[in-house]
This record gives sequence, structure tokens and C-alpha cells, in this order.
Amino acid sequence: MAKYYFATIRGKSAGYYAAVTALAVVASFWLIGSIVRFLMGYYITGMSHSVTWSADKVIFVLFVGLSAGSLLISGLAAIFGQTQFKVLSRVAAFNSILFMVGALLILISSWGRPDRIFLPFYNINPRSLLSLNAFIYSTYITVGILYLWALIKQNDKVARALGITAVVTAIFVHSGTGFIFGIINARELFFSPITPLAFVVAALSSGTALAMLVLYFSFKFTNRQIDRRFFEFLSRVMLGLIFVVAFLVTIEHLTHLYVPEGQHAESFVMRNGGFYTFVFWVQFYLVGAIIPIVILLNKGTRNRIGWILVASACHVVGVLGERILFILPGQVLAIPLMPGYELTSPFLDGVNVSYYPRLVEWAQIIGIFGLLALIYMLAIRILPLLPVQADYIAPAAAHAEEEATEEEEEAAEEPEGAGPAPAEEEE
Amino acid sequence: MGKNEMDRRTFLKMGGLLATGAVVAPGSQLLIARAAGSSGAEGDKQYAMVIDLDRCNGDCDNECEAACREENNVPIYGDERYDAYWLRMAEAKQHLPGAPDRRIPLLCMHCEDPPCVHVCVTKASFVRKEDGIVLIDEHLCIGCRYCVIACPYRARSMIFRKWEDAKNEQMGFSVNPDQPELMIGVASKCHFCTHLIEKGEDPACVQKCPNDAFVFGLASDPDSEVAQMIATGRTEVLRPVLEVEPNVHYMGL
Repeated sequence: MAKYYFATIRGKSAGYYAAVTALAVVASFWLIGSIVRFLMGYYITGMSHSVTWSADKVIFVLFVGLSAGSLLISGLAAIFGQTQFKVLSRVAAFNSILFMVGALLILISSWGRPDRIFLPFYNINPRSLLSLNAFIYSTYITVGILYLWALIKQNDKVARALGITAVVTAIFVHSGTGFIFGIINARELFFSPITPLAFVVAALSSGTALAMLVLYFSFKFTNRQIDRRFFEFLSRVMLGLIFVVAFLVTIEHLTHLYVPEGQHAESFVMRNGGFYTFVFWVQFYLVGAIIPIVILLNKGTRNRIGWILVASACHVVGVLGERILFILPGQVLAIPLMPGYELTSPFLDGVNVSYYPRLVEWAQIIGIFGLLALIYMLAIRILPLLPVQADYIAPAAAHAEEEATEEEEEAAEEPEGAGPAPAEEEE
Repeated sequence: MGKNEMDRRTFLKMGGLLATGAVVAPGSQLLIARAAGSSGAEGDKQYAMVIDLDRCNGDCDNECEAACREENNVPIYGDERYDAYWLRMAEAKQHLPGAPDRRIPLLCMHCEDPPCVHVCVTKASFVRKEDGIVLIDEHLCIGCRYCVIACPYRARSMIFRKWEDAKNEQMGFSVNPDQPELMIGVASKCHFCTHLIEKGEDPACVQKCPNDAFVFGLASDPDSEVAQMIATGRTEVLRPVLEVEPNVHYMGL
């Protein structure tokens, strides 16, 4: 097996301190926003009695998804025998925990009563998927932390077992999150057996896309080397996943068209939903699927790192659109309480309400991104997550080397902090 | 590579099993409930309401809405976006030309198979076993709003603001000192005026309707007016295809 050297970043440059300070300020937006929201009540958000799962829920599902993709990269080595990804498995495992923690922070800070955070753990409703998810999410984070610990301690056997467990738990987490929405039969646009599946696949594709961006910029700003073949490999994986996502979303919406109630709902999404129609056609299909597919199929662009990163960024934006469509239109659309009648009431029955995030929600959303970036910046300084140099050693070559150096490797100690000193680092 | 192959297979097996488990665990609970008849009242009492829409003819000042607000201190803030309603009067326009407009009071349907109770994370929403009334324990609610999404009738109001910010008195609604203020950040909804039923009275909306459009009673008692009205077969429920078995029935829907 090939040997990799991991090292923390030095983190003494003015740029590092400036970036950490700036991120800490941004992260405080989340904390301030959450406290203000808790003390004042929901009314300072853009929510109404119709739209009660709002922008923070969109970010929640986006983060849960991004966590999956990172874990996939980490698990490629453990499960699919792509041992060349071992070099990236630490940082990928860390990011999957990070995004899950971020997802839970934004979820809990969106509750009306975040002070009752421990209630779900002892008042369990076995019929509720969200109730079970409390345990699934905490298991996922625990397994993830143990897995990362085993990776850092270089306990290969334990890491492998935990890696497999983590990926299996991830299937739980992501289908469980999809189910939260898929089982709501009161609202036309929610109820669907495809939702959990579409959720898992979009999670993997967007997570892979974001992981590529994080990896590229992490290595670039720490002046470390990463082999371009990692990006070529991952972009192929992403391309396949993008096709599946587009397929699943398309058939989900097409199926709705065959039910009269669904036609009404779908014409809102596809034709006259204003913002949501734009998100559906432009953000999801054009930016999220067509542009990345064209980039990744075109011979001139598919092996250029710059273009791969553009495709990744586009796809993350597209999946954000898919998440918006996943959560908001189903609530914005009036519930057909009395088919054949046009309802009006002071409680906004029969009206397609409008929802837009207000200041406190923007503060929470921008702040949570800042918080995660801050934690990441601090973590790569404290923990040896990033390899000094990420070489791409194909499994076959690694296997041959493993046999040659088997005994030698047993004794190999990790030279933490060794290797060429990484000079300047920024975000 | 052979080692990896095996692990992949094990992985798929484990993944498949666990994913199946994730689906089956909550689903099986619902199957069990369905097999036991329903998840509604277990005792022999079941309260129900019948609303006669022919009597609900608009010859009033929406006394039901106001009575509900005054009896239960349901907060109103003067903003349509987040004013709470436990009972609201909706106007229904028919698409047919020349057809008269209808009115329909909408409230919690106290379903026997309530989606809000199924999804509640902390069992804050529950069906009271003795009489089938769907209640919320506001001390257990974490404010996740899953029930609001899951309710097919939009019967639930989250409490968006503090009671001190409510404009009930400024807007001409009296405040009932015997009933508590609603807690901020949690879900709330009609509870059939449980406190009045326990005193042997009808819910406030039933008492205050000038046209006697509301009839309330025990559906489980065949001699009650409610049971007899339902027995005529001329009552209907809203969104019957969902089969949540509502206990608020409409006559002349």
C-alpha cells in the first residue's frame, strides 16, 4: 500500500488570521439570527401558516445531501476498492460530518422551541420518520467521528469497517430525509415514492460536486499538490449521477401529470409558478443538468480542471433548485379543500401564498455557511486532514506495491507535521 | 480484489436490509394501527360535530369565529400572514354560473387516523383515548411544524408571536381569564373546547351560532342528534379520499 503523509496547515500567516476573523464574523450572523428568531417568534421570518417549512429547511436538505457526497468519496476506498481515494478519505470524512452538523444546527435553530432539543430523544413516536431520524442522524455523526478517528490513527481494519458502516448509515440518513417529505399525502407535490430515491441520488451528485470544489481550493490555497486524475475520476462519477437525478426528477413530475389534481399542481411548477417555474426550467434543468452534462461530455472541456469545477458549481446550484422545488411549491400551492369551489378565508385558504426569506433567515443561512467554513479552517490547522501531496495511485499499482512493502508498512509511523512546510494558506 | 468484491456484496446486502428496515419500521406501526380498526378512541366514546351548511347562510357576523377566539384566547395580530385561527369561516364560490356562494366553517376535523399525530416527532400531538379528541401537549411540542405540513385541512396554527403582542382586545375580542395564553413557537388548534365539554357544555362555536348550524355530541351514542344526523347518510366529510376518518361532518356540502 502506498504511504501518504498528512500534515496540519501552519496557519500563522496574516491571510489565515484575516480569513478566520472574517468567517467568525459571518458565523456570528447565524448565532444572532437564531437567538433573535427564538426570542421574537416565527413572525420575523417570511413564513406564513401555509409555508411553515421555509428557506432553512431547503438548506437543511441541501447540507444533508452534501454530506453524502463527501462520504461517498471517503467510502470509495473502503467499499468500492478505489484505494487511490484513501489519500482524500480523511478530509472527505471530516466534511461529511461537518455538513451533517451544519444541517442539524440549521434544523434545530429553525424550531420554534430549540430549547427543547433533547425532547425527541426520550419522547419517541415510532410512527414518525422525523422521530426516528433523530437517532439516525446522531448515529451517523457518531459513526462518522469514530471513522475519522480511525483514519487519523491509521487503524486500517477499524477504519474500513467503520467506513462501510458509515456509508450504510448514510443510506438510512438520506432515504430517511427523503421520506420525511415523500410520505405527506395531504399535499399533491409531496407525496411520492420516488422522493427518497431522488433524494439519495441528488445527494450523491451534489455532494461529489461540492467535494471537488472544496478539495481543489483547499489544496490550492495551502500550496499543496493534488493529482488532476482525482477530478477526472470524480467528474465521471458525477456525470452518471447527474443523468440519474435528471431522470428521476423528470419521471416524478411526469407521473403527477396523469392525475387531475397533479396536473393543477404541475402546471404551477412548470408553467405559471413565476419563481418556481424559473427554478424548475432554468436553475434545475439548464444550470443543474444540461450545462454540466455538456461540459462533461465535450472532449474539449471534460478533462480541463477549470471546466470540471464550473460544471460542479453549476450542479450544486441546480441541486439547490431541486431542493427548493422539493420543499416550497408543495406548500405555496393552495390545498384543494373543496374541489370545484374557489375558497377564500382570512386564513389564506385557496390562495397560492408568496414566500420569500426575510433578513433573519438570510442571516441564518449566510451565517451557517460561514460557520462551517470557519470550523473547516480551524480543523485543517488542528487535525492532520489534508495530505501533503495527493498522488493518484491506481488500485492495481497500489496492490502490487502493497505486496512488496507489506512488512515495512506495518512499522510505518505517520510523520505528522512533517513534509514540505505548506507556506501560505487562505480560505 | 477478491476481498473487495465480497465486501461490496456484504455492503449491498446490509444496505438493502437497513433501507428496508427504515421503510418498514414506521410503516408497520401504521399497519398495526389499521389492523386494530383505527387509531382513534379506544373507549366507547367518540365526539363528533355536524355542520349544517344550509343553516350556515351568512345571516350572522361570524359569531363562531369570534366565539372560538374569545373562548380560547386564540391570538390575532392584525397580519393575515400569521393570525392564528382555530376556526375560520371560508367563502366558497362555485364555478357554475349563477350558482349561489357558499360558506363553510373550517376547523380541526379530529380525524380518527390523523396524519398530524402520525408524524409528530415527540408525541405532543395525540388522540385522547377516552373520547377521540385530537389534542396537543404544548409542553412537548418542539415547533418543528411537521404536523402543519401533514394536516390535510390546514387546521393547525403555529403561534408566531408572544401573547403580549396579540391585539385581541384592540380588535374587539374579549379575553377569557380562565383559559391559558398560548405558548409561543408551538402548534395549536381546535380542541372541541375540551374544558367546556368536561363541564357538560357544548363548544363555544356551537353555543354562539345564531342559526344553530353546529350540532355537537357523541357519535358513539346512537341516540344522540349527531349520530342520527350522520346515520341519515346525508352528511359528508372533506377530502374523503384521504380516508383519515374525520369527525367533523358537513350536511349539504
